[in-house]
Amino acid sequence: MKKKIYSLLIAGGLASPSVAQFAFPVNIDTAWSVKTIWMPKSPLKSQTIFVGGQDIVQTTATYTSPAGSTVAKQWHDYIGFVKDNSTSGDLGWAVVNHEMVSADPKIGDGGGMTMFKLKKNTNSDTLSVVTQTLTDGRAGKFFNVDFVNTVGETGMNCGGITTPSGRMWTAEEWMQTSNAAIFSGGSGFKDTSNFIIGTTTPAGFPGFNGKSIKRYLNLNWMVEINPLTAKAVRKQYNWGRAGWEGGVAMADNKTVYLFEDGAPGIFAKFVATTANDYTSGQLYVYKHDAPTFWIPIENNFDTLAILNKVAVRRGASMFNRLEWGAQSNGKIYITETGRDVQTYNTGNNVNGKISPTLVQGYKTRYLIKNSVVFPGTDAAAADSVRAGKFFDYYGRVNEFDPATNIIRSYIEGGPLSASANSQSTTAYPPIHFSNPDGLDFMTIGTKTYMIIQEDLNGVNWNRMPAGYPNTNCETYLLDMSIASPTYSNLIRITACPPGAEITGATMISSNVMLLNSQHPSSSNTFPYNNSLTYAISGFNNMFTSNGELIKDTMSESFNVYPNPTSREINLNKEMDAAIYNISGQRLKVVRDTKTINVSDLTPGIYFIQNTEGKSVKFIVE
Amino acid sequence: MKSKIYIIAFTFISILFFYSFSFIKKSALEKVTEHYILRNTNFKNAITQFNQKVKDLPFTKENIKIIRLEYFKLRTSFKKWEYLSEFIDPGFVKEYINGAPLQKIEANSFGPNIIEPKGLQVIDELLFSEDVLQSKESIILALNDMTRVLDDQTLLKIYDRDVFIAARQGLVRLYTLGVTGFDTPGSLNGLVDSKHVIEAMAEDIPNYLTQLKNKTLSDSTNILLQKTLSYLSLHQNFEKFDRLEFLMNYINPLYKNLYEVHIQFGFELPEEIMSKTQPVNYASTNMFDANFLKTIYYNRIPKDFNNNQTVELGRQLFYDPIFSKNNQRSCASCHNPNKGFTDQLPTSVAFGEKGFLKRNAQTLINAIYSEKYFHDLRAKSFEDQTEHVITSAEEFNTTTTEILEKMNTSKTYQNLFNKTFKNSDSSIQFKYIQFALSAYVSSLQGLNSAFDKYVRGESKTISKSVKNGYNLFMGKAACGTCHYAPIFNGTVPPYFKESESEVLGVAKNPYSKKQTLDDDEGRGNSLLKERVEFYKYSFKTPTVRNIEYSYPYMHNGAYKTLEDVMEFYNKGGGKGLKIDVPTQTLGDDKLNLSKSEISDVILFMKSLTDTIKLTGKPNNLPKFENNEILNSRKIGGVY
Repeated sequence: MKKKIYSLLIAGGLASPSVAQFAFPVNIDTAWSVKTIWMPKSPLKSQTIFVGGQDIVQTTATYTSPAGSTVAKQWHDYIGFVKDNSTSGDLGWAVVNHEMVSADPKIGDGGGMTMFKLKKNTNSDTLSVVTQTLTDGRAGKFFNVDFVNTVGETGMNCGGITTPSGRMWTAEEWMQTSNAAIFSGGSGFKDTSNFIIGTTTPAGFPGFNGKSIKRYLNLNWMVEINPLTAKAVRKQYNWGRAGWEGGVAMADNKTVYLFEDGAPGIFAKFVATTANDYTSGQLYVYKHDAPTFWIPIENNFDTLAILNKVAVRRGASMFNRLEWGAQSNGKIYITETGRDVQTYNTGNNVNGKISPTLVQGYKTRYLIKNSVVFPGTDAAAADSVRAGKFFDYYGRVNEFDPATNIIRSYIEGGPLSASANSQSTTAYPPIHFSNPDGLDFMTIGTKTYMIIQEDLNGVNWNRMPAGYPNTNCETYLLDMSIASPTYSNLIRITACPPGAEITGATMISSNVMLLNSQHPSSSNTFPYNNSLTYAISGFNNMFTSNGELIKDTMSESFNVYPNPTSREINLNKEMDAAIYNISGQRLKVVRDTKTINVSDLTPGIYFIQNTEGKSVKFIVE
Repeated sequence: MKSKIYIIAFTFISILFFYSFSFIKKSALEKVTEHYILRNTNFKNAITQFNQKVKDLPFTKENIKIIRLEYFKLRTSFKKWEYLSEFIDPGFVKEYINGAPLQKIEANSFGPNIIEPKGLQVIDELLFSEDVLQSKESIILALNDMTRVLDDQTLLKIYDRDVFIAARQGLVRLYTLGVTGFDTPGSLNGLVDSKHVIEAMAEDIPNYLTQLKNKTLSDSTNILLQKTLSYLSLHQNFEKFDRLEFLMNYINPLYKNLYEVHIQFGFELPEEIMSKTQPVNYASTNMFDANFLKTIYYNRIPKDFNNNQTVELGRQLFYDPIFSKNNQRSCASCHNPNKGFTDQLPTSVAFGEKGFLKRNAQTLINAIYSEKYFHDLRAKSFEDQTEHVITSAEEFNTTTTEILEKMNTSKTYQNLFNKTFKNSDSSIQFKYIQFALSAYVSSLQGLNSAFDKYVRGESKTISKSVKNGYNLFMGKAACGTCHYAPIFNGTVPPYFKESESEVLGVAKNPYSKKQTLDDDEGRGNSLLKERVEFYKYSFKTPTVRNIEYSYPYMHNGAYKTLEDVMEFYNKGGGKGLKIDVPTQTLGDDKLNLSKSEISDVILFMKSLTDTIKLTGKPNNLPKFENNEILNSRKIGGVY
């Protein structure tokens, strides 16, 4: 065995790396390694808080079911969090949106939300769910937010808004178009009778009370909820009905920005007349090429009910699936997740006629990416769409400045770009940033980091390396002090379950992040196959006290160093390497990479060998 | 072709298998990479040329011949491109190049957005349809994006291991989707196609074989590649092609040899480059091995609990009527192990014996090999489906909380769960019930039938009728284009990650004079996100293994015998029988199977029966210390 390694060494030393690919031996003699490095335990700790489909929620009397309890719905998306400023010592109330649509005689048909209160252990960052008794008498740990008896069911619950003062709205992006669709053969909404605004408690909505509407028209509004009582307050009819995914509320307690997940998707603004009263005010949709930037929308129910269509007709800016937003330093950041399909066939018929929404979409994008209004005619914009220039599988994060009303791309997805001729091959990039969805910020010391969460739209277009047919959504941190950031500035936090959409990340205390792993469609094992709300803590160990990311020190003689946070081993340059277990059996081979993910290795002794045949012992704690 | 290989063989001399001196000469991988790039260019050029012909020529009878010729050239370059490129980016090929010619819903979208099919399968169908003269614009539309997307695609670097993983995957694809005619619904060009796939492999693999120390393996692999090519050259009649012989003498041996070559080189294996378990067991060397697919991919049980102890607990739960509100029904009530885990009723008896359910109970043997469960594919995992049965008023008519309350009054049960799941929390949790039931159903693998054993060479003979039946199943009768080998269900090869459903146009009563469509809308009336026109009347494609036991047939159990089912397909499904079916996905052409051919297909399907060692019942059920009534509950339930 030893002999083989020596011969291998010589051969490896002679081979030109561009010519021969190094085959790592299946077994090595482990007595051979001398250097040892340590992979300490991750400074980040994760803790499962709430599992959809498993944890029990307390329910109100709904339909014909008496108040009681049942299993929570699934598919966690947004997390709203309101701090408890009282003397209770508890951290605050968290509310999780369920994107799952299902009939449920106790929770209510359609979507849903679950509320729970968290307490932080004083000596550590461990969380516990507090047992509560609500004003309506429900007692327990998890509570279903009552929509049925308050404002009528929701279609599904995806993104949301929490104001600085603790008010909360939930959004329902899946646009409904008929009662038959929401009835869904009985598995969706059992009750498809007309809904009359204002007949539920608390009383409906000023100006629209008594109006009888088709049941499906009562869906796709932003809905205000009271997290403390676990009851909905009102459907926000005056903000318009659209495929809303998320929004941002400003500190003036008057202005709210809203983002639509659609293609075309609109960007809207509501300004309340009086602070803290969102039931009266003015709604606008954004139009980048209008002098005032904002087109006012009249407060008329029939107009509001088809807001997207009205906006399209009035030439509003068209986005390619807006998702979540968050604010930092006076600016609003909005994820635009991108879409594969639209470019080629949708709205683009054989005769080459391009739909006006795509033309407007192309012009909007042109402004976002180039910071100037598209100089050409609509026909020229249509030609660009036809030539495939609207193709957008990467997406981006946009920045909107409320002071100037200007929107621009803040960071673009990347990096694999279309190659003019395919005469060569490219190694898979270490960072491949696509389809951003969830968005938030965290501040450590004096530094602010954007938290970006991917939700891959597919695995094609090299979104995954060769042979990896499952999506792997990643969460990135971006240092906001970097001017003109690109994907290469992203810091990957890999402490997330694989395969699922990571969403809802929100800091609930200086050192604790709450996040969701939602509708994992791939084959993860329990609990990562369920929608899951969990906490990550220990960020203070990842950064210096003033917020600088702690750089790992490189071990001297061997250019290998561990990154305990991301559970990766870093190499000093891009190379091929293999990992062996203590018996010398090969476990893993990586190619053309600077990092080796070792998050799946159980604690123990391992060996890493590079292409020069050198090996180093490393210990996972 | 042969001469070329010999030249390569002699120019490549190396001392160590992983190392070549080639500062001047190219490595095997470099050669393959050159082919990979060249094939991409050739494919793009062929699309451009075909596109030009389609655009330039008026669609007349004479011109169609020219266009078809150009199309076959395009297919040649496509099939040579396919095995490596589809491995590198399978989603891309599915989306733009060679996806099924059916509408689908955009994944991960903001609404039920329907994507129109595009790519080669659409073109194939149009170009060989009766309406070909009117299909110019549709073909242009289907071609619209292909060149552009190929231009936009970045060619990712390939590695030695990729060549072997991709080639083996390519063999499974070729056998299940190529020679069956699946991806050439119009031209049935699958056999010519297959030859081109093997040609590409025969250009690539020998570059490695010359460096292999094991000359016997090197030679036999080379010979196999050449023999497969000549077999495909000599046998090009779609109906007569002996798919069994091709499997046993060419595909399986090649599949095995490529694995051995991969191992000999010591190139990394799939599990060393990705941490997630994949459905196909790479180490399996025969498509009909009992372990060809891994059940641990399909179930969601944590590694620590995927063991026999969990299976045994699951077996007890399966037979325990504690799961129903009245403690009289168990899983075995409708999935009776003595009846192939079905109840052999058209539709199952409802709770309280008040009538019947809407749909037929499916067999549980080999049921785990699915992406989604139930006839309407509404459950995303086997674990998820338990809750549907428990809460359905017509089935167990109870709730998970009610079951847990009941079960947690039994110390014996709690101890059993604690022992199995090493659980410190002494109360039983629902997830553990799901794991146990899922482990038990995962253990119901019936893949050692007479036919499997014959294919694996474990038995030497099988009747001529069965052989003929298999060849019809995989060829003329087109069964194998939906019931994919080797499980013969709707889990799509070569990835085995996606479950399909089909609109067949099943009759409400096939024995009535005027047949009408069964009014169950299936998948189109189930999940809110799948409520689209083309999923109406669509049902999951079940396995045909153990079909001998799983009568009566179809989702409504309306078809009493296999002869009746075969007759239905032979006439072109619902549409062929003049039933009004809005979006039938089954071809409505007559299959023209003779009586004896039908009988052979049935005999083949019966040769797939295997229930051995799967029907063991527990001797007793866990005791309830304080509840005598529950202790008298019957193993397997009362009805």
